[in-house]
Amino acid sequence: MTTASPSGSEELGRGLGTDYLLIGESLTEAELDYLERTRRFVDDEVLPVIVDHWERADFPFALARRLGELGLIGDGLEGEGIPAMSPLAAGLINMELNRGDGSLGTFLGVQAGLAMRSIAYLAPRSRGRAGCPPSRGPRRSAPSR
Amino acid sequence: MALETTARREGDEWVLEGAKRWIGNATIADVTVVWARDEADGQVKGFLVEGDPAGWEATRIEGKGSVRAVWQADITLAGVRVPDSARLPGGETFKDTGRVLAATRLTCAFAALGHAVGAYEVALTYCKEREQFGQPLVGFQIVQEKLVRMLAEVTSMQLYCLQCARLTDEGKLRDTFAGLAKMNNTIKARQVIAEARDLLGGNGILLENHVMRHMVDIEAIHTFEGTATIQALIVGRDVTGVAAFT
Repeated sequence: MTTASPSGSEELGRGLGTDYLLIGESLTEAELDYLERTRRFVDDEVLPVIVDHWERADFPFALARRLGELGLIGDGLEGEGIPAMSPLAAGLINMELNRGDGSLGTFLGVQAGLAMRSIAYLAPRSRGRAGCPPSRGPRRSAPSR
Repeated sequence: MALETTARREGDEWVLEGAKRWIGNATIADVTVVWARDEADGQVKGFLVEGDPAGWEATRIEGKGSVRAVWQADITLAGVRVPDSARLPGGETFKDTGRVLAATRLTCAFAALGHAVGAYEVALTYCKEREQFGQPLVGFQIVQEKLVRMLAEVTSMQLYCLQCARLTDEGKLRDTFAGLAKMNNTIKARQVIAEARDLLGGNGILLENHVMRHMVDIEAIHTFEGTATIQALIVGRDVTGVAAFT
C-alpha cells in the first residue's frame, strides 16, 4: 500500500545542484556566485509562492523587483547600472531561474535578453531619456518585433 | 521578412502604424522597443516608445496554459508619434535585429536546461522519499534506469550550454550553433519532463509538485525565438548548403 506521500513537501523542488561531469569546477568565482545567488533566490523566495501566482495567472511583481535587487538582471550586457557578468554567468542565471519557474525566466528573457539587449546593441551610448533602462529600478521594458 | 508595422518620418518625429502580437511585458512596461519598417527606404528600424502615448494600446492576452505568471499583450499603434531621438541609431536593417535574436536563442537553450534539471531533481527527490511495496522507488531497476537516462540528457544539455557560452565569450558563437543548442535542449527537456511526470505517478499532475508546471511551461520556450523546426532548417541550410525555406 501507499505510504505517506511526499507530495508538496518542502524538499521537493529544492535545487540539488545536478552536475555529474563536474562542470562547476571550471566556473570562475563570479560565475559560481551568480549561480548560487540565483539558486538561493529560487529555493527560498520563488518556489514557496510561485504555484499560486501561476494558477491565478498573476504576475509576481515582488519577485521581479527582487531580481533587480539581487543584481541578476544584466544578461552579459555592458552599460551604466548593469551588473557585469560573463555570457556563462548570464546563462546560468537563466537556467537556474527557469529551474524554479518559466514565467519569471520568460520575464527576464524579455526584459534583459530582448529589450535591454536591443538598446545596448543598437544605442550603445545612453542618450538621456532614450537610454538603457536601469536594471535595478522599477522600470520595465518590452520588446516588440 | 513579414514585418508590417510601418514608420513614417514627419519632421523631427516618426509616426508608427500597425499591430503586434505576443509582446512580452507590454502591459506593464515603462519603455517598449518597437520594430517598424521605414516607408521611405523599406528598412526595419527600432524605436523606443515610452509610457502610454496617444494611439498606443496594449491588451493582455488571457487564457494561456503555459507560463501563466508572466504577461504578453496584443498591441496596436494607431499613429503613435515618437521623437527622432527615440530611434535606435544602430538599428537600420533587419540584420541588426538578428544579432539580438542570436543571443536570446542561447538563452532559450539555458532556460530549457533549467526546466529539465528542475523536473529531474523533483523526480529524484520524490523517488528517494516515496516507498512502494516496502522499499523506496529508487530501489527498483526500472526507476533507476529512467533516472539515469534523464541525467544523461540533462548532462548533454549542460555541455551544449557550456560550450556555446564559451564561444560567446570568444566572439565565435554563430546563430546556427545557438539554434542547434536551442533545438536539442527544448526537445530533450520535453522528454525529460515527461519522464519525471510519469515517475511521480498521479502526484505528477499536481501543481504543488512543480513538474506539471515545467511540462506546460516548456511549450512556450519550445516555440518562442524560433521553433525547433525553424532552428533545424537554419542549421540544415548551414550543413547542406541548401535553404529549404524562404
